[in-house]
Amino acid sequence: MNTEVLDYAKRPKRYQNIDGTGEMVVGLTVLGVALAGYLEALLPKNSTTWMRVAVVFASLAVAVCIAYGTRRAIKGYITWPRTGYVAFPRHGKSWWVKAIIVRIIALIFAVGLAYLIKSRHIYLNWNLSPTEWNPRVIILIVVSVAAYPIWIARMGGGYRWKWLVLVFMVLGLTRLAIRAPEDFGQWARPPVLFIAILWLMSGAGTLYSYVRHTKPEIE
Amino acid sequence: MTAQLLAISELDRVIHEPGRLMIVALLSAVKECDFLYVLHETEMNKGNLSSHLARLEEAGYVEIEKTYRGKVPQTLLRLTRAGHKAFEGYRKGLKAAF
Repeated sequence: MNTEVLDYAKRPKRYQNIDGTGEMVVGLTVLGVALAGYLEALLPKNSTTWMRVAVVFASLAVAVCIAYGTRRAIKGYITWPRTGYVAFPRHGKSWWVKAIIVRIIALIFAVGLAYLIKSRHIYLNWNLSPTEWNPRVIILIVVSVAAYPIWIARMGGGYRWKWLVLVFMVLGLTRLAIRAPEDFGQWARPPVLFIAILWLMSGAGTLYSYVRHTKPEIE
Repeated sequence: MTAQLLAISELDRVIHEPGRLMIVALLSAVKECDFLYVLHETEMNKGNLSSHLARLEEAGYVEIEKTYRGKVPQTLLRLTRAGHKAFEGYRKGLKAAF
């Protein structure tokens, strides 16, 4: 009985990706990251660090704005007449305290690591050999591939065809990793773009299924 | 009367009814939602849902706001502070009983 009650309390979470907008937001944000990588590569070699940072932030900001605009439009024009409207509560004080503490710890760790690398004159080898798989490549692939099913499960599950998307993601990333050029930054751009496109396609598929299987009740 | 029966008898009768329990559980997870959403999730008919909501509003557990979204009328539903407290108490009471 208690678990059934809890299940009803968990149902609103599904609303966030009932129409695929959750996947689209992730896809568009990752697309922003990919775009930032490509734009940064187009900058002249003597560009200042600030210019590079500005390009990255500008492309990310544009991507996030487009993502939230798309989500708002789909929720307003497609989801609301079919499933209704849901507004979620803002995070409580304890959530913000935890989030700030985690970010501060991460920042201290990153600064400490950077200081250690600089003071000990550690040389980071970012070059990749096409024949030897670098741990960074493996981590990127594993994290990207794991993120998709975990996220879908958190949003209340999805359609069976999403397993095919996962298989396609694994095969595609493996194929792209084998073709690794020498530089990691250069190597990472096509896989990130590929991941973004897959998330977007998955979101579009969810939206198509949703529209196909539901009827608007408010005209 | 056994302790278990006593615990069950002390449960909030307004929330204990399965239909109203579904509504309160749904509303407990959101800031607000509209009538259509609750109708979809509970799979009740409009009349049934309306009567349950009226009972919950009467008990002070749910706030109902009639508004418009563009030109379309919209009924927004919110669980009040008393509603949240009652639901939490109900869950604890049920857990203690079993």
